[in-house]
Amino acid sequence: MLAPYLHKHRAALTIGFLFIILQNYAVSKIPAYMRGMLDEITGANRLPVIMDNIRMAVFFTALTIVSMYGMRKLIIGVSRKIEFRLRSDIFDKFLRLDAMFFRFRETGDLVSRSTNDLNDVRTLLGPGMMYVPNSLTRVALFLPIMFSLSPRLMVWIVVLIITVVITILLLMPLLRVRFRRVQEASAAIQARVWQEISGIETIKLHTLEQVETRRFASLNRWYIRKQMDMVRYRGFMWPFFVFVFSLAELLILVIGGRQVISGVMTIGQLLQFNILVSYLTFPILSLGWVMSLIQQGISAMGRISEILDSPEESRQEDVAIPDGALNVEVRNLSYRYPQSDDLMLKSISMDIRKGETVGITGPIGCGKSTLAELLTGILQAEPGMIFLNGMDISQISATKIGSRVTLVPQDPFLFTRTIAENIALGECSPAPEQTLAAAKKAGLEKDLASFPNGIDEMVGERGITLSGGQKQRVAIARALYRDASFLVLDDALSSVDSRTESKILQALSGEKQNRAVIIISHRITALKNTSRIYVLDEGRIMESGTHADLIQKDGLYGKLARLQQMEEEPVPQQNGGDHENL
Amino acid sequence: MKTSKRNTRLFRRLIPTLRKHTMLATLAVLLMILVDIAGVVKPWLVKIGIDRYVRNGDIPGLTRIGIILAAILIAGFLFQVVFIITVQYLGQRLLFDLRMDLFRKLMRLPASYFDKTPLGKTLTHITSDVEAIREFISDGIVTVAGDVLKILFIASAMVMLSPRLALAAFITLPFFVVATGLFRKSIRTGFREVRKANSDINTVLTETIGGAREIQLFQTKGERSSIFEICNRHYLLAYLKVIQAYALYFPVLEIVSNGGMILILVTAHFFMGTALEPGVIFAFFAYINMFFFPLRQMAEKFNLFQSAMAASERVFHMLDQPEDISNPEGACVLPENGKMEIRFQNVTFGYDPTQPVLKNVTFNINAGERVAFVGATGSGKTTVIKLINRLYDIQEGTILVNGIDISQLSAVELRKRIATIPQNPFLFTGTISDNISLHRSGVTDKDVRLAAEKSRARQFIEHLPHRYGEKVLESGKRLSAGQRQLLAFTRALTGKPELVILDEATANIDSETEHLIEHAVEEITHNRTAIIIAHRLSTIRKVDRIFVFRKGKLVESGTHTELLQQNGLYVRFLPDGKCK
Repeated sequence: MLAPYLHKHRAALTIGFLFIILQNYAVSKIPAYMRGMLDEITGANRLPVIMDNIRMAVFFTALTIVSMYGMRKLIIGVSRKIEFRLRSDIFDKFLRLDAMFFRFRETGDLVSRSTNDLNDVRTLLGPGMMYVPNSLTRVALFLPIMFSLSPRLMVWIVVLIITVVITILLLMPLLRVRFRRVQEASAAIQARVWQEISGIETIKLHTLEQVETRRFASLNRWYIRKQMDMVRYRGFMWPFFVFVFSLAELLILVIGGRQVISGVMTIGQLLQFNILVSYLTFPILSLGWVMSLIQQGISAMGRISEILDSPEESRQEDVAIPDGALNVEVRNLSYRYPQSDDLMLKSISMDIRKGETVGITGPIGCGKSTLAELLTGILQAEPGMIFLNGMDISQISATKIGSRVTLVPQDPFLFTRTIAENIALGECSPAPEQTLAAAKKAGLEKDLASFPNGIDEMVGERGITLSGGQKQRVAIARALYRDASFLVLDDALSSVDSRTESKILQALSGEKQNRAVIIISHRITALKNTSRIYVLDEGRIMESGTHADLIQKDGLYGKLARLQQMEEEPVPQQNGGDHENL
Repeated sequence: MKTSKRNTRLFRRLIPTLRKHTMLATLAVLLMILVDIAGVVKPWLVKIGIDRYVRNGDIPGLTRIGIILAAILIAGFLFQVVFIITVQYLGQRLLFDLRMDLFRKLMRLPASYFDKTPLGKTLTHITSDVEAIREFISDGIVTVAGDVLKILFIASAMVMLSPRLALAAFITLPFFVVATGLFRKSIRTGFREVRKANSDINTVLTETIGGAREIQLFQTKGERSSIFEICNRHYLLAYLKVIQAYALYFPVLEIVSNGGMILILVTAHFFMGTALEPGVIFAFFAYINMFFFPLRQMAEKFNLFQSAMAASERVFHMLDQPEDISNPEGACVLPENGKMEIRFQNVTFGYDPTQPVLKNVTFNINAGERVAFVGATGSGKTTVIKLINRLYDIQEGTILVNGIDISQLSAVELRKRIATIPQNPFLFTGTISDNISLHRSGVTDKDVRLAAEKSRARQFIEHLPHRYGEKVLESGKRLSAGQRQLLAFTRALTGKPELVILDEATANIDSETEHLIEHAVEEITHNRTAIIIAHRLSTIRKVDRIFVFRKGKLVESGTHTELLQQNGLYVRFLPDGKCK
């Protein structure tokens, strides 16, 4: 999986690994000169000998720091460069995946995979690739020197190293289990608080303040228990590793001391051994940390691969839609979401001729939005079901559909850019007159006047926040700017009051003679003037006809019309309130 | 200067919370001192072992000192374990206290706070900001205090062993301090750039994923790709700078420790010569390794301090918000008479006081009367209902409940007597049963079933696979609007409301549920004062009086027949020929 990325940097990595070896070689040399000095001081104490030792120690220290710098810069640098490449690759993959991929996935999860998981992979490549070889070469280079100083002590040190490594291997999985439980508890708290905040009015109305406080306290106590479960493990583990390794000091004093007394070792050699052991401490103790990095990195890579290996859009690229006005034909269209048993749409047939405006309505979940997304190529229909000017939509690439067909969804997405740029989405240098004209047609004129920078006002985070109705009208302007031949409005003006909605819709269908338009709405006022209305329920067309026909029939549509009568403002009204959500 | 002032302010706020755990905190400090002492004594024992016993060939003495050292090692290990657990527990208790303080605050904040504050912000305060403060207490302050203490112990041990050698060892200190200062400065700017680039990357990612449909519809892939490339490259370059800083800093540590060792030996050569006790060298080498490590750690902890500071600022800001004033001490007790009476006198109110939503509204609803509110979206119907529940206080006029001014009543007591059933009830994650009982003590399973029977929610609940134990997701997506309303009816019926307020559901109701709801409305409003925001003619015809609202004013009221005779706005609401 990572091999091609590593291969690209093989030269830097090879040199980096050479630096690791060089560094450890230099480090292994230094204690000998400390020994030399101590032996000289306690012996003849001659300055030239001391100076010789200092020169060598300084030389090897210099070698250490140069190679240390080189190894860090190269290996960690490579890890960051691979991270960069991988992130670009994930992003490009996102752009190639089709809408269905995103439908069943949380944005938060995908962002977390391309940031947190990527970071875990990076840590595997950086510190992981640096510290493991470093620890191994250090042990490999040190053991022979230690052996030459005192075979007995060396064996003891090996025993200690093995003990530390084994306990790390045994305890790490147990710690991981506890850590996961803490994360779950933490997520539970997060979810609870989120509920409390979003349901605060319900809590107040039912005077649940005290009940909820008690429940939250018990959730928190549970969280503390999970935390302490982990803390007890972690609080034991690290001091234990340090303790095991610090037994080396004891062994050096007692066993080494005896050897000095019996003349097997000099006191200087004991010092050399002592320094070597202290150089080993960090590389050995960090093994636990490095090991968990590797494990995390591997599972993170798995989650990233899931994205990179997802199948991409499969539509063919070779068919073009004939120019000019569009006739849309739907023939016996059925659709089922992947991983779902039920058909979302069942044998839908309809015709929308060029220049015609058609309405669709029905209760929530009846399949209206699915139909809208199939007609605009966001979702892929099976071959032989939807035709644009006689061309099967399943044979046309998304790009080509997009250039002729536009969908305005109920919850349009605005980017953190200016309003003008949001309207002229995808164009580098939009003409100001054109964006402004589109905004006017979408009824945005008054709103624009109230923004400090007008149409060049930034949307979102660092700019103004638009109301639901304003967002929807920006999306309408976006669609008008495009000048598509076939336009689908999926409840696109639900947050705008019905008068403004009717005005915009009228302007829209009158604007271009040959445009085919579908208006999906709950509002009778929006549908009334269309040339034909289809009423959907449970994925089927239940009735169709003009407004007058359907009222006469007094079916689903008639019932909807009656329900809405009470709500509709009979006299002109300017704007709706924002506080109708008790 | 400014930061230090902020720090003291933060500490002062945390002291009361800390004081609650004096025992734990004292224990932690004691253990910390013991851990540090054990750490400093070890090299000293090695020194004694070498100079007193190894050099004199005293093997029994060496064994004795070995046993003492072993005891110290074990004691140090145990102290360390208990210390870590104590400190972490202390941190958890503090976290608990802070979090509960915030939660209680959340419950007491006025409704207007939630109109102004994004939900996500409040969530962050209660979840991650308090974590940052905990980390600051248990991993920050305590560790740093321990480190300072340790440094002092080590320095005095070195001076006591040999002032000359100690001086030699400290020569590298200024170099280390300067290098660390430079390093900290450079990684701080480096990390600032990293954070900036990182948040840009997140923005582009979130927008690309969230706007995947728009990107496909409007073919802006190429452009997205190049924007991302820029952010991504910024991130890489920022990190390469940080790597450079680390790559330079780690060698500094090597220079300091190797340089320290060399300087100690050189000093020994010039000033002690053969008189040198070699054990001192062992001890000093151990001490310099111990000495620089905490210093380095302190430099790294600095970032933790800064983020905790910012987090506590936010947490205390939330704690300092004015509270809901609607639960005064010594509030009037609402006389109980089974049926509530509501009187509005010239009430004017706006969520923003400069923009009134209700203008000079006067009406009264008599005890036991059933009233329908009719009017377009935004006409003020829902606002009236919020005011009756005292979710907001009015700006002008008076609202009387059973003859008592609403501002004299405790809002909690008031709301206990009112059952409000919204058009789209909020469902909590949990079972159907939980959503009816709302975890209120005194509401038994039997009560739940009884209420469901009365509200006619039983029919649909018993068709669910797990019946009352069926899990409901937050948005309640699997239940229809009508079913959700039936659940809200059931909630209301578990109490004994004196006023029932109902916002009729309009969307997504099949005729069977509609039928059930009609009966439920009949049941719940029977023999009670009731306000219904009505959308159906069938409902309106059953009530005693109808109030017609328009643009924040009550424009017409009366019975159906009276209003027909008036031939005003009400008549225009009615479908042609349906009821004349």
